[in-house]
Amino acid sequence: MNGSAPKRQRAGAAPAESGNLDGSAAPSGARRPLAAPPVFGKQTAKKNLSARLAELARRLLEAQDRDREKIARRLHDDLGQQVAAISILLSALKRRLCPVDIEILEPMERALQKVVDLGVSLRDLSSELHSSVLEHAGIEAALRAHCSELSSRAGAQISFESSGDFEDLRPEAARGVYRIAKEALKDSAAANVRLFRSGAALHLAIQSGAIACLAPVELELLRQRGKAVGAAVRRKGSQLTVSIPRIC
Amino acid sequence: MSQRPFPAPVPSASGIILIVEDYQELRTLIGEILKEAGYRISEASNGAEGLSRLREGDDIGLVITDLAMPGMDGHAFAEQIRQGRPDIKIIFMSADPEPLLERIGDWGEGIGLLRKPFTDEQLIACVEDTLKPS
Repeated sequence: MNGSAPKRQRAGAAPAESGNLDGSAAPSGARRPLAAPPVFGKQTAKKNLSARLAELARRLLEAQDRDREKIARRLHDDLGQQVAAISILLSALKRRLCPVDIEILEPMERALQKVVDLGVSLRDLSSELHSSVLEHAGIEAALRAHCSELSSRAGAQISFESSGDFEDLRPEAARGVYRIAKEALKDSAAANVRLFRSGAALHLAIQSGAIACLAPVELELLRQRGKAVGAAVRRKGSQLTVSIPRIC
Repeated sequence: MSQRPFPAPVPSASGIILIVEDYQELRTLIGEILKEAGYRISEASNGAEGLSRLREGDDIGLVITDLAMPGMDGHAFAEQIRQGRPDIKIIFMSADPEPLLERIGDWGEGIGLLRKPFTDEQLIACVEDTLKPS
């Protein structure tokens, strides 16, 4: 169905491009409006297609974000709670064991440690899928926390600085900017991240060697993610900038 | 099979501990451990129910609350407690406390934090620390 629409428009354009509706040549000084619509129609069709693709990309990204959030909540609220209950049960059971019964105490201790490790893994996975810092404390705190977390990895140096107030940033825009930053920083060993305002606009600037190495398809995904929330994503050398003209 | 007891608490000075947690199994477990340690407890399954317990006039000296709960979350619940009863101490339980730390940075003393999953010993240690007179 969708593929037939542009064909119909192209077919409809032919008679007018050649002149009058009956196919005869238009005399000099004839009414121009008859010739103009086909050109306008082609441009409109292209614009419509582009708008529909952008809308589709936006909806896909929104659906992806919703799924991520749903899974993160399940991990945190359901599985995390069960792990917490197992941990406290095991620790209570361990306390009831005879201290000299090493054969049972040691495996119990290992089991308890495994449960704690599982809890940490669940928390990390949940956080990877959906930032609760972003949800509760906003874009500035979330980016700072993320850069700090990345810097805690061996050999990584990710600095973050910000200026301005970002409280009026729309939640979906905050999610978009945050995810762009995460994607852009995922292979960075060293980066400088700046978040700042200029008037009603918000800018995120990421300077990193890894930015220059982004594949075209990766860059296009970042652009689409930005476009979905009204942000322009540009790369110049090793710098990526994300700009939202009006954040509220 | 012997049992290693927890150190004796001072329940008379601390009053009742209100446990607010929507996951019933965990709430019951925490209650059992605290009772075993000599504390008096009260339970609620969400923030609104917790506020009702507080309004009932129980001798509540400490609230242990989950952070992520349906309806009123732990932070909103704690804010209401601080407005009406700033003398009550609060322990937050959370698997992911970083957002909370951003929000309660200036709340001062009488606040504890238990990162899930935790052990019974960590629970008791946190309760004792939070109940210590400042």
